[in-house]
Amino acid sequence: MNVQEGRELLRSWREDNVRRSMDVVDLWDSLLSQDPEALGDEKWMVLEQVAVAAMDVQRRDVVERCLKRLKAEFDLDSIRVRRLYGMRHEMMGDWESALKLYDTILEEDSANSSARKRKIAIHRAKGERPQAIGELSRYLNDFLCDTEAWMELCDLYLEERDYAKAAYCCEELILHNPNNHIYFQRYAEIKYTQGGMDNIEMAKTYYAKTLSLNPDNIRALYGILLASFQLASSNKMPAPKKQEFMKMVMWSSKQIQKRYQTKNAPIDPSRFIQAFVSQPPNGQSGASS
Amino acid sequence: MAFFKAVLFMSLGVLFHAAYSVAEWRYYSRKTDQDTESIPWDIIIQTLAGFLLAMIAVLNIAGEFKEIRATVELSQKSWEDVRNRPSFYLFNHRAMALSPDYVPPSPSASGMGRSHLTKIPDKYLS
Amino acid sequence: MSEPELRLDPAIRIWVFLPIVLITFLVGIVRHYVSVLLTSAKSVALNQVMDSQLLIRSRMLRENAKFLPKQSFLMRRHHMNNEDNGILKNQLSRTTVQPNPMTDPSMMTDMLKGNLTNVLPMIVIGGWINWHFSGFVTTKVPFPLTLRFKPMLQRGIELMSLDASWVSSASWYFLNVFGLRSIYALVLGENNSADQSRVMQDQMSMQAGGMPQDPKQAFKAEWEALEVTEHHFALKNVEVDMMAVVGPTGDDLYHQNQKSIH
Repeated sequence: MNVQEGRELLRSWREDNVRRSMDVVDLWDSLLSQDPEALGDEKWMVLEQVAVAAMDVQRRDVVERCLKRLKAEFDLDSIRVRRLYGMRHEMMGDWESALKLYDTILEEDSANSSARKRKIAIHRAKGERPQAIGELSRYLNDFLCDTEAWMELCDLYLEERDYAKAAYCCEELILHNPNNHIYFQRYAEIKYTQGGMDNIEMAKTYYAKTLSLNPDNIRALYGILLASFQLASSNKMPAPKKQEFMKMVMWSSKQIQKRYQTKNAPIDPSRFIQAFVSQPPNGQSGASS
Repeated sequence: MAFFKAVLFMSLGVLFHAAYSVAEWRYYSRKTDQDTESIPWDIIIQTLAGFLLAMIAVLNIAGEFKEIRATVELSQKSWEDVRNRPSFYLFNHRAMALSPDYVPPSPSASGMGRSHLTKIPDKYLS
Repeated sequence: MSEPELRLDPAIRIWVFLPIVLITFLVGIVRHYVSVLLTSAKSVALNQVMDSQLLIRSRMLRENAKFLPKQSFLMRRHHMNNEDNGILKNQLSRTTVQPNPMTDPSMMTDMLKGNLTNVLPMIVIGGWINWHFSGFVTTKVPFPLTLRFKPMLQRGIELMSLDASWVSSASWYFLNVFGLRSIYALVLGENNSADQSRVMQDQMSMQAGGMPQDPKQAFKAEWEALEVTEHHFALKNVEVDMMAVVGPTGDDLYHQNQKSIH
């Protein structure tokens, strides 16, 4: 691989939010570290990306080198460089210095979103979930359209097992990206976990939407299987509806088997399907994080 | 890619040359009072060839088309990548242990007394 | 094509026509880089960010509400439009201070810098071209013009009978200034500072860094739009769609009962 290809690969990872930190650091070690100047104008973005990846795998030497180069060019006046230094403090576990640094950034520029987000991340790293949730809610009052922050809040609520609020955050995500099948699937899973016949019906609807957006989403097929089975085995359903739901169960299990066959998967899904449809109603399966 | 850039450059040269030849031809035909004739056909062919070459080069430089349907492109992404929130990355996870500078916590500092982490307590060894 | 009535010296083509194009183009590029050096980073205030994001969120809600369950949509609309403490309603009752360009020093310097980099070179170079390339016609515009344009376009050429389509070098310069906009977009990328007409538009609408009176109007518009939005649950018949996309499996064709979720 030459430097051009390495640069292209790093750029694609940067744009797709891929977190392959070990691979990035390996690429840096093997290819790019000899002559980072050859990267041209992209080298600042690459240095930032490599620095964050190195922080992820605790390679302090790489972090030092990248940050030194960035500081030499942009000096600590740049907020972006200061934020990287703050993240370096976080990597070493030095929360106080990191917080102090972020506070200085916020004094200078009160509308800076990245420093506020790092402070929330520090709360989460220290295990202070309620504070993190509080800070994040306040942040979202100001920056209402930050998809990342809504996703983070959804995750935090899921860790707290507050499914209603997590569903609210997921709805925000759907509002902002109505074409992304992943958000619909996650919302369906939250609804399924909440339990109760209404929620499970809603979950089934959203799983169906996921499939109509992306027919290859196996998880949604399993979701439909489970949700239909739950609805079919409920005592409060009238008989004709139970029939419908059972038909759905059959349909989805056939679809799953067809998928596994067409992709020549080495496992036979019938065991799973059997296990899923033989569990007692109101089973405990649901959304995993 | 570089090849097609060269082709594009060449085709632009061909087109400019054709334009210049038309200008020259017009100048001379005006001088000799023959400007009722149409443009000589070799210049026409040169222009069309240059145009075709330029089209081919630009189409190859421009790269792949993106899908019109927004859903198809998104369905290639997995939750693994979509769930990543770069502004909220935490660094105090297990991968710390993979670092060359990692120092495992000493047993005396962990507060477990003198027992080693991997020692099975006696009550389970029946 | 008809015979041209006038035959121009070919030297005009080489020494006037093309140099003016070249000069305009190069000056535009220089202007772009100078303004890049001179502009200060615009720091956005927190409440401006909040305003713009609130508007975006409200718009998203209106457009994509059909993907949400009805209860969620109603809850959000209530949150935004509520009489007592809806966030959109709050913005409406807020009094906005219109930033006066005369009193606000930072806006003053921004305007001055904008003027300096854009208008001044145009005037200077236009004047120089007019002085240097005067006394002859440069080119003919391909469309016929009325006689009223003559004094404007034919400065320095005092001929009564000359067709108004024949223009002087100064007007060719101005034609270039406006015409090369799209070339700048190709060469320098969008949003470049060599874009003259956008600068003039900005000056005309007097908006310097933010929306003075607009937020209130924008919020009112959003509030009204949100009030009238109805919720048509797009996922009512989604299972039929899903079947169409994924495909039935042979023997059991699933008939969806058209029960609505709410």
